[in-house]
Formats: sequence, C-alpha cells, structure tokens
Amino acid sequence: MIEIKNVSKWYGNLQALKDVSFSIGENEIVGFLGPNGAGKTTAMRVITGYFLPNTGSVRIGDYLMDEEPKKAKALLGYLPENPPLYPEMPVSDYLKFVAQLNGVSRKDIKDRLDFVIKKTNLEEKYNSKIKTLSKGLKQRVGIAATLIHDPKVIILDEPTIGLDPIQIIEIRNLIKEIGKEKTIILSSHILAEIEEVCSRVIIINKGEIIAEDTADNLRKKLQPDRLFSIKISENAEISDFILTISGVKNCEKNDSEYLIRTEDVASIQANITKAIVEKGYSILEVRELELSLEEIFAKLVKGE
Amino acid sequence: MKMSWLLAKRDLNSIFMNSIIAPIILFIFFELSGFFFYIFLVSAQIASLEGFIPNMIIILALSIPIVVARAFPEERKNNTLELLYTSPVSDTEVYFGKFIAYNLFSLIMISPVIIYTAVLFFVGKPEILPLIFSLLGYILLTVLFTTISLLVSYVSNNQVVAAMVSWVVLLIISLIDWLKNLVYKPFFKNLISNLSYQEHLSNLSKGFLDLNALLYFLVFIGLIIYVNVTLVESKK
Repeated sequence: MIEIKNVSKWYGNLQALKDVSFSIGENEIVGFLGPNGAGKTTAMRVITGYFLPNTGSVRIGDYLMDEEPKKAKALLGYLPENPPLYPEMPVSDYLKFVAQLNGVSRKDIKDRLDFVIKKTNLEEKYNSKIKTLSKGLKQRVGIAATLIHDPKVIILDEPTIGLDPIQIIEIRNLIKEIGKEKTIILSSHILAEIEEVCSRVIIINKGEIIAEDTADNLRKKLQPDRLFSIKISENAEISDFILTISGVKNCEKNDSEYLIRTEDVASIQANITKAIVEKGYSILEVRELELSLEEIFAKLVKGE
Repeated sequence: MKMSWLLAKRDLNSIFMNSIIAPIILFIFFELSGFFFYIFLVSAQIASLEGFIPNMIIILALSIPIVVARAFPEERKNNTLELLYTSPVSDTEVYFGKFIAYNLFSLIMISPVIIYTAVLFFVGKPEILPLIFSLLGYILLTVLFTTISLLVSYVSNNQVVAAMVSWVVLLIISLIDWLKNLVYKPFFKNLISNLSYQEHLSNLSKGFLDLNALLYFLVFIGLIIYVNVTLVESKK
C-alpha cells in the first residue's frame, strides 16, 4: 500500500533522510519510532506529499506521489503532531470543509460526518467553535478530520498527545479498530502504545532506518538468550544446582529470586522447574523477563 | 477551480468572522471614499471620477495590506497549510483560493464606486467611455495591490511585518511616477512612464482603450502571480 524507495531529503546542508526505503502492506499498523530530530516528521511529510524528496520515490496504492499527487493524496488521511484546525470554525463546518477538500460527494458528507463524530465522541461539540475546545478535544477533531473521507492509508503523528488516560484508551482502541481495514502509520513517543497497537515497528535515527521488524523479532535479535526469574519458598542457595540443569547458561541470585539465562523457553519449562521441584523446593513464581520496547529502542539508537 | 472556490469561500468567511480588522477597514474605507467623492463632486462640479480615483489610491494602498497580510501567516499559525498541502489539492489551487478570496474582499471594499457612478448619472451627464475605463483602471489597480500584498504575505511569517513591508512596496511602486521629473533623457522618461501605474490610469481615464495600459496591469499582475505560485511550489 505504501512503498518508499531510496528517499533522501535535504534541508540546505542538513540531510534529514538518507536513502530511506520501506514498504507497508494493506491493513497493517506500523509504528514509527525515533528520537527527537531523527527524521520521523520529515519522513511523514514526504509520504504525505507535503515535501517532495530530493531523490527517491513515494508510492501510495497505485500512484507515485511526484507523478499523480492528487490521486495519491486522496488515499491518505494525515494528522500532524499539531492538528491543523481553523479556530473560528464550528466543528461540523470544519469537518465538512475537510470532507469537501478531499472530494467527498455532497450526498455522502452527512453520513461521513455522523460516522466520524460518533467514532470520536464529539456529539456534544458538534456546533462548538474549535477555539473553545480543550487540547484533547481539538486532537479528537483532528482525528475525525483524518477519517472523514474514509482514506485507505492513515498517518498519525503523536495522536494521543494531550489526551487524558480514558481518551488515550479510546483513541488506541479506535486505531486498532480502523486498522482492521486500513493501513496505518503511527508515530508516538509512548512506546507501550506502539507495542499495544502496531504489528511492526520501523526505527529511524539520524535520517536512517536502523531497524524494521515486529517487536518480538527485534527482541530476539537483541536478546538471543531468554531471561527468567524464579522464586522459591525456601531460603536456600541453589545457584550451583540450577547451573547443572540442561539449557541453563547462567544463574544469579538476587534476594529471594534467581535470575536464569537460558537458550530457549522449552528448557525452563521442561527441565528447570521439574528439577527444582524434584529437589524438594516449592516454586512461588516463574516469570520471563523480556526487553521492553524502550530498552530495544535505546539499544538500537545507541548502537549497542 | 472548484477547489480554489471552496478555499476562497472558507477564507472569505474567515476574513469577516475571525477578525474585526476587516469590518473596521471596510467601514473606514466606505466613509473616506464617500467623503472624497462628495468633496470632488461639490468642488469640481464635474460628473466624473477623474479627481476621485487618484485620491483614493493612497487609501487603497494603506487599507489592502492590513487585511491581506493575514492570508498566509494565519495559515502557518494554525498549521493548516499542512492540511491544504497534504489534501488532493494542487499548490496552484491553494494559491488561487487566497487570490480569489482577498481580491473579492478588495472589490467589495471599492464597490461603493458603483453607487457614486450612479450618482454621477443622477446629478449630471458623465462621459461614458472615460468613466468606464477609469473604473476598469481602478479595479485593475485594486487587484494589483492585492496581488502584491498577497506575495508579501506569503514570504512573511508575521502579519504585522507583512502589512508594513506591503506598504513600503506599494509606496515604492507609487513613487516611480515621481522619478519622471528627475530625469531629462526622453528614453528614461518614456521608460519610467511605462512603469508608472499613475501614467496608465491617467491614459485610461481619457476614455480610449489604451491597450498598453491594460497590458501593463495584466502583465504586472500575471508576473506577481507567477512568482508567488513558483515560491509556493519551490517551498516543498
């Protein structure tokens, strides 16, 4: 659905994107991660046609952005980090304007308007002027505008910023719901959000893509060993015993828990717990310690 | 064109709904134009716009930039250029949306001249052709001033700065005519005459279809539009 090929973008002497290539399939939700100034917003602006790349190409559906920009843009819904809103307009007028701008026919506008107003819970603010709304409500108006023309591709730059916890959950659920039938690129600083919502992540740093995979696969690449924590009821020292169990690479005692590094998951289930129980100890807790997306992100960005 | 009209309607709405500047400018302009028309009609006792239009130019040059200055800085402030440039609308359509909206405002501003023209027919027997071509010149000059102010608005991030720079630019263009008196060589005198809008307005007000004058306004306006559209496209 989206194909970015060898895209580079310069701002004067500064290269914001360096030969970036990736593709995103239909109905895929992809997270876009990167530290501040990494080139995320530039990449999004190039994908949406706001900027033209200096080299490379952007294809949305069947259309190349530089050859058929109108057709390519018609497939897109884009919510920038600061929602583009006209403060003097009532919510309904603004959404109608965006619908017309995106070529929604007159007869369909009311249905689309009702749909997005309901989806974003803006019923009570239908006739309110945008300048009177809170930041969270403005963000919801921005999301409604992104959906108004039923685009096939949705690009969201920090969509939950400024929202309260309940609104965040609602918006995440909304993204997951619309992601069933649309392609979504989601940029967020909240990595838990990316992990919860996205099937794949693209990590960009200094204008280059440094990783592109599912969070699980990135974890496997960065942490080939599995790390487990086991708590036993007795206050005994059994590190040396655990090290003798097949599949265990390392074992450290930390207060009442043992941190065990193994080659794979099966070994801990089949061998370690059985051996400890057979030895006469009671297991209180077995927990797998995974790298969080934050840790994956930090490792990749720091080049560890 | 359909999209430009959609954008123009939104802009026109915003000009009147989002700021009290435009209604105030309209009110002041209507008052002053009525005052000047009355003064020239009573003092000259001639059914003509010949004295009225040249004196309205300074008011026009002061008023138009104040309203037009907000055109692009306001969009930047609201981040809405990002909405327009990522929608299925061409950059040229975005520009012409502004062009139509702000020129319509300027034309509304000078619209009382229609009433003044009717008054001339009521109180006397004005010469038709000089009147028509004077009006044509007045309209073209209004469009030119608006188009220049729109260009300045595009290159500025601040609407106060945009208004002030537009005043300076319109002042410089207005001063070209004065240079005529400072040079003696016929070639330069002729060149300056061709660059001076006052000279062309004066020719039109004589009542014959001066193609040179029409060409002057159309080429000047076209050039400014071309520069502005090129700037919009190159910004990407």
